[in-house]
Amino acid sequence: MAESSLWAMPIARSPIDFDGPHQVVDGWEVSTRTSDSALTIADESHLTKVVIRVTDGHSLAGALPPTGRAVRVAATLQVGSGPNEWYLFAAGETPDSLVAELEFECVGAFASWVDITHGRALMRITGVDAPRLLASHCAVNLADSVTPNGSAFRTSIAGVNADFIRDDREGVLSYLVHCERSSGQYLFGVLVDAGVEYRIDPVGIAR
Amino acid sequence: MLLIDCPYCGPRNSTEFRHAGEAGKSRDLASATPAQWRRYLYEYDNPLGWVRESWFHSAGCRRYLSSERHTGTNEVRWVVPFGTAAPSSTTDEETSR
Amino acid sequence: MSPSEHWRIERQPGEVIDRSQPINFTWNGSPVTGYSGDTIVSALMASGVRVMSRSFKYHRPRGVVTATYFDPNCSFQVGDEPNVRAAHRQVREGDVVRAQNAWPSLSFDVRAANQLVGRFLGPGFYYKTFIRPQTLWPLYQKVLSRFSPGGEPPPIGTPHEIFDKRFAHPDVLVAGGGPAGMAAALGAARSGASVMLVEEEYELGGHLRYGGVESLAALASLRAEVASFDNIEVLTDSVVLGRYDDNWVGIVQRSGMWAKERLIKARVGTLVVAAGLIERPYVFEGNDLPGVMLATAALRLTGLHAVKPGTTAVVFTANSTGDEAVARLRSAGVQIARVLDARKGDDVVRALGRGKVTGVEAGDGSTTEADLLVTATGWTAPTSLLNMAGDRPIWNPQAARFTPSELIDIRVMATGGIVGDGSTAELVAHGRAVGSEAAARARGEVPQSVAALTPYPHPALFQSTTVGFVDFSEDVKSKDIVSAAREGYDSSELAKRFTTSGMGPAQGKLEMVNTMAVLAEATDRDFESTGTTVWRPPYAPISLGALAGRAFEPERISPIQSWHNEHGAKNMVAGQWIRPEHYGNPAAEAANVRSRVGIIDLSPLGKLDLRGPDVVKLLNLVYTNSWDNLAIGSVRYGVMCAEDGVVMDDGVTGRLGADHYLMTTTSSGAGNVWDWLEMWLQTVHREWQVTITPVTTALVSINIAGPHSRELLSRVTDIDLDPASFGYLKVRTGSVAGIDDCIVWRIGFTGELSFEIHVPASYGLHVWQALLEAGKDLGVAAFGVEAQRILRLEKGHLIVGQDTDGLTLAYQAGLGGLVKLGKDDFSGKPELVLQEARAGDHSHLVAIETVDPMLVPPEASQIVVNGNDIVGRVTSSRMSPTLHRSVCLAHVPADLAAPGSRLTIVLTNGDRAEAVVRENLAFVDPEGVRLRG
Ligand SMILES: [Zn+2]
Repeated sequence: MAESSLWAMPIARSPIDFDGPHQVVDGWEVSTRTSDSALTIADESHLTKVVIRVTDGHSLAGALPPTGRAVRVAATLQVGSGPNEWYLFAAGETPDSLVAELEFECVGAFASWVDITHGRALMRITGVDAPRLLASHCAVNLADSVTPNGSAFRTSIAGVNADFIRDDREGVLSYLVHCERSSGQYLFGVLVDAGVEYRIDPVGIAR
Repeated sequence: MLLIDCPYCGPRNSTEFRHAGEAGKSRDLASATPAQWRRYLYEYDNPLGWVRESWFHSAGCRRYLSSERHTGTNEVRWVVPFGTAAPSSTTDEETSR
Repeated sequence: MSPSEHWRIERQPGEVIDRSQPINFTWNGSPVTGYSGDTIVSALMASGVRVMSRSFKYHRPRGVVTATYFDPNCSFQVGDEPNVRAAHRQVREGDVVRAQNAWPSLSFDVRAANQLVGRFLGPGFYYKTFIRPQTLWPLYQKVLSRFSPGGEPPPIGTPHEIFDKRFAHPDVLVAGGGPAGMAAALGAARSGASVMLVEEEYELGGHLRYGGVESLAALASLRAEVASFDNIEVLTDSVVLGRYDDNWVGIVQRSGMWAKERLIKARVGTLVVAAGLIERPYVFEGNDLPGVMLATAALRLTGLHAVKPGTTAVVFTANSTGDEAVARLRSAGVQIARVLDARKGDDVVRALGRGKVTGVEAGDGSTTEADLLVTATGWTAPTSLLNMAGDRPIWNPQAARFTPSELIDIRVMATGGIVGDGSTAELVAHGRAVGSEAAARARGEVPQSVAALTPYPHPALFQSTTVGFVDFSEDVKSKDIVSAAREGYDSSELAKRFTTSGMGPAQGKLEMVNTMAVLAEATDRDFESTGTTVWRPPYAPISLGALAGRAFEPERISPIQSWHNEHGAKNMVAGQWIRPEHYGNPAAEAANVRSRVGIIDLSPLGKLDLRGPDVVKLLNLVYTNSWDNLAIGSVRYGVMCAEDGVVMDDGVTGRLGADHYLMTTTSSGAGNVWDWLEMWLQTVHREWQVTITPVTTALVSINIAGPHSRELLSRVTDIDLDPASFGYLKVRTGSVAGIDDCIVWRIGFTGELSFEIHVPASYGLHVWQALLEAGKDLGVAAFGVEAQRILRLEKGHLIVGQDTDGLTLAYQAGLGGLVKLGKDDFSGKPELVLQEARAGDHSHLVAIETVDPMLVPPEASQIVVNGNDIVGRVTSSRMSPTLHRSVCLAHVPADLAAPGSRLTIVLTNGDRAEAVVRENLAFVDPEGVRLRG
């Protein structure tokens, strides 16, 4: 194998792109755009993301949140994304370190984890108008009584299957929207379009 | 639009699901005659009344579900994870509403 | 037209116009001035305009009838927007308003046209006129389009307006914002329910808005109470369109937001229908003359818009609303020439005049001069939403209107005029009780009944002794209904369709009951046995824009797409994926692969990560071939069949570890295959321990193909590529261009030595650029989907879905070698056992050569015998840049499948071309020397 400066410094790129300043942080090309809008949409696709799946009766099911709930354990967001299925999201971690504390061995049942960091798009919409914006496309009831902070659900939005995680920020309504990577730019565009009414503004990673 | 109360996800629009056929057809590879096999492949009872069927929640939990629906009123009486026993309180004679 | 205060009366207590804000607009080119808050029609009435349109068939002049949204005579063209309901739409500064259906002009007396068209526009003319001769259809169309009541759609190129959409989940939705509806919203909101209150007009209030001072006082207090609840969302200028299964309710919001219109899709706990009552016209000769209007229209024009609808009036009244109209008109300065009271046996026989009312002939034979005839002869309950919930309203002869029967869905309730009558206080009390019960039902509590609101008795008045119009918008007269009945169309649904009565824009709200009454009398039946027609969604007209909503079409893009776009890619859409079809010259791209090396972005390739001790059982079940002995580090091609043996998908699956496999599928089949595998695991073999994770977009797939592919890859990877250790159909993992954990396997769809690399997607662009940079001296170039299609066809590799169809079983596709019937079970086995037993007696996929090597028959060309008998088809065809001749695959019957068989192909222009079946599917390198190199 020849050495070349060309691939000495690989750059990871998010599926989502929007105008504004960019810089390379921890090997990822990220936006550093800022906004003082009350409703923002941020690209968090660079987060380390792992999906865990188990077969029926696996002991991990007791160690992770139930379907429909998301909890923070230290810096990791654990999401019960479906029956026998969880996501783990965290910034700046390796996939191995995310699952290091979990016990995958279990008699009579099987568990696996797969690194989906590069396979999914992840956006965060923050602001009091976030549920109204999402209701333009999302048929699931976003009322507090049905989907309070810490809820997680998957549904179809604008023709794309996506996970929604209500993960409020310092008391302000905030949702993570998670979908497979190739639809990320499309879904980002759909959400920005639906948010024009509420003056939505894309933001990058705060430094 | 039909509302299907997914045991994992809660009530969802039927557009999130794929209808996966009537329940109770047996896939007997070993002893089915060609005629029986083709009945298994292509024929459905399709009654007017209560029917047990399967749905796949493709846009949600991605689980196969069993349900009972009235084909006349579209009332869905129960939905359970596939393979779970049906609620025992219902009988075929019971009518809608 | 100069602004005329002649028709504008003094300030009214409930008026909605702002006299400090004049609004200037034009009507058929002439300037008109109204006030802010005026509807287009009230502003025109205030300026003295009385003729609003020409009727649909007979081109009779028509004026205001209801002064509401569904006024049959007030659809106008406003700017480039056709069919604007001008008795509803508020006038805006600068509006350019034109009459529709005004041919040749609104004022021209078209008596000749009347007679001309009357001959063939009788009842059932749609069905009779156009039967034959067929050659006259274009003429019919030409004539009829002259009579079409529609306006002009905006010209092509008009900028799109925004039509919004949203979902809602109110506990209680109240359809109708009159006193009962407002009260129902309050009753529900008080018990904590989230409430959506939908009102068709611009303000809440219903009939209280144009009532007297007591009504206005009651309205003010109800509005204040509604405003005090945060949990009531009020939507005005909005209408509930329909109610569907499980209280799925559609609402269109027509103004008051940033978008032009918004369609709301609501999943409602309890639906409360409070649609009120619609006043019914009376049928008599001349009842369509401008100047004949309903009592509610007179009350609206005077009360809301301070417009005097005439100078001298006759009022025909059968109820308190008619009596109120008498008082109101009098106070507005209209001279009341005569009051005819139906309760005392009075009747109206005909309205006199041509083009406008000049007099009224009463039942006693006397004639009164007047320019205004107001009728108050009864009410129609708009039970549409109850119909849609399964209710079949019943005729109440005492009240002379339909009322709900038992509501069959407990999550649908009704209040207000639709169920009964009462004082404002009684209506409000009923509404509150229904609203509170609606909230309880939405919470899932056991339903309780609510004390009934009963309708007042009302005389049954439908038609006089003369013939008049039953349906203004469709120009249907009472005698048309009678002749329909005589022709045998005597059931309500048949008579409606035959005469088209009730099929115009008002959709029966004004016409249905009168139609049924005329039909009942003509057939000597009572209302009960005549029946009624069923009201179906939508309740009100809806624009196509609102239905279309926001235009969106999911689109999937590869991480390398930006590079493709910058390098001249001509993109194609494949499923939802945007893919480079080629970069300018697909034949050259293919040739470069054969002679040097090319790279293609295969990101859409379906990929599933399979793990667990039972994966091999799953593979054996869904693929037709055997997977028992696939070693770690090896890959295998497999074909999937559905249970009927039809080829469903194909692809390569590699074994990466003891319990770890990577399956690839066709690009379009990725989702289906995932569902298919889950079906087997979740419903048939629930004990198998397998987990499936879709990784299609987690890995960017790049195929490096061509004689220099090994050299190119060796420059960027630490994987040992020596053919002795990394042979054909092997898989290795390692770093590529500095990216760890890349998966590399050797397969040969193009027929060349090739390496398919699967790279973490965020680094896809990085690796792509590194390959191009590293291989410059080797002549590396990107190739697109078209070049790949050429290459695979030269190699005779089939594409599922192109060279197979929904009837192609594995043996027919030449895939018999991949079917292991010895396996206990696999999907498709029973049918494939039967097909195998036919020993080749079925159609076959074969490679064919045209006798003329330069002729490329279009794909899907038919193969025929005996002149025109179709027996097969060309499935793929291309000009081969390698062989410089056309190459094709085709499906042919068994007796034409042997090598050397001669075929006849039908070309697009009907010419015949000859072709010969080849020995081998592969045109290039049939021995597979190149790909195994
Ligand atoms: Zn579900």
